[in-house]
Amino acid sequence: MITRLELQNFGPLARIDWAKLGHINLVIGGNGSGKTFLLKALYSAMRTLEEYKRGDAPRSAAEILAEKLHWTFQADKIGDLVTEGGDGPLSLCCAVDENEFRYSFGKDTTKQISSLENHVPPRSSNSIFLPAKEVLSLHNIILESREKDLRFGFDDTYYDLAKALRIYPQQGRNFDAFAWSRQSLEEIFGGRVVYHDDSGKWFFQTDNGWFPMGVTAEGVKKIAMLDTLLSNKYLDPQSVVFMDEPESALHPTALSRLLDIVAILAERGIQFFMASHSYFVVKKLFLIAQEKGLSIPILSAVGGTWTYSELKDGMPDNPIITESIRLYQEEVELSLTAK
Amino acid sequence: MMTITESGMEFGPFAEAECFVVENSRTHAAVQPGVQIAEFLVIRAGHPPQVWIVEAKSSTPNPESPLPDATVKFADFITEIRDKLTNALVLCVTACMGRHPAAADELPAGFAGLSLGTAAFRLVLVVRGHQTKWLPPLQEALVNALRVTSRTWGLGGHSVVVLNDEIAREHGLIV
Repeated sequence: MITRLELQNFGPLARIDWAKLGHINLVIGGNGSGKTFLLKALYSAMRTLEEYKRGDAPRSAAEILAEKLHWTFQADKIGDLVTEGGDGPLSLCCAVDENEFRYSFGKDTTKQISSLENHVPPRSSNSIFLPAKEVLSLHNIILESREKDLRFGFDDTYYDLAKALRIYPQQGRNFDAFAWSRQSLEEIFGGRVVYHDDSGKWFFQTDNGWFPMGVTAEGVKKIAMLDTLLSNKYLDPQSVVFMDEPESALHPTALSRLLDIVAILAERGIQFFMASHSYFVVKKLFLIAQEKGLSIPILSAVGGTWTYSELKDGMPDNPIITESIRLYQEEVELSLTAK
Repeated sequence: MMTITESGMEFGPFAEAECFVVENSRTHAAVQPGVQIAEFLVIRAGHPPQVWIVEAKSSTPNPESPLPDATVKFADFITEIRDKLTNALVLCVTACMGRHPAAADELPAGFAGLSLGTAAFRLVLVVRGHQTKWLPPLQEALVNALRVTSRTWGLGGHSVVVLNDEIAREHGLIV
């Protein structure tokens, strides 16, 4: 589990120092505040740690990281990720189970990261990034674009997800918590997605038959991605899941149920980082924190400044919350002001 | 001029001809038992004039509490407020129509002369001491509960409001 994150001069993020991370962590803020950037920065670090010393690959952590940053942020040279006009090099330090991983590089860096320190033991678990959009319907296109054409377009968050979804469901017993979660995920939409080897396509299977992905709702496909990653055991209790805008394409009722499942998975060990600008997400996670007495750290961007709070202690002061109050006040004015 | 003290708040001052304390009225007593009702109605000048039907509370159950009994309490609370505001609306209009003999000598002059076809009605809950950020979900819940009343009475889409004492004061409802 990631317990601490510090970064400096990382693209739009001048400085983040986020300690005491929990099993569910929420990043909120307006468009362009750097929420997704933050998740991708952390994802790149975790995937580097997970690919390092895995199998017979002889690559150094610095080589893996440089490639991960290149393909995740799709920067011609990774030095382009250093904040324009920043006060120094880009740096990131995260602690995984209190073991530190840190690196830094300057603006002129093309792909050689000279400063990297790793005290995290090799990890066998996998982390995954679930983007705002589903990838099942683009699955083959993503793989072809990256594996045959080697082109920018679909970044590593999409490519890694497409590869992870390609893994066949594993035989044998699911992790206990995952079995219940999968059943709940499938109940939300009354079916599951299944990969057909012959056609090389995904289908949505219900009691009424099989339906092509093209006629399957976007929200179903999003839920199905998590279901598939649990069924093929790509995820395990030590995995870290990054969810960008979980609210996208989901009805608030389905979103609430998804977040209930996230809470169960988090109790079983999986760590979640979510970026959102949804009132429903903040409110539902606030209720989960209250009900379960669970620590849910929240990092919120307000006018370029990041503030740290805890949903267990209450709803944060943030433009998402403020806007709901402003709309209420506008309605009161409309109602009570005589013409 | 008159003021009304309810749930620890002092409402007013209102012109006596424009304020009907329906809860303590003979008109309300005449339709008992079993008719819960809001505290008072007050006419606000405008084009058209507005009739604010006001219920006051010193607290509410917490709608955000995940405990099942709190959820039930909140639903009961919303139902109670809905009934009180709806009953007050019906009693006001029917009193103005002359259907309640008891109202003949106690209905304030402003109500007696009210044009029922054009007057705007506002169903208002005032909760003392509530933080502003707690009000939006409470208002949504009450709007939802009063949807049928708003539609069947043709009250319009923004006829239900929930205020705290601070906002009520800004709108001239509290001293």
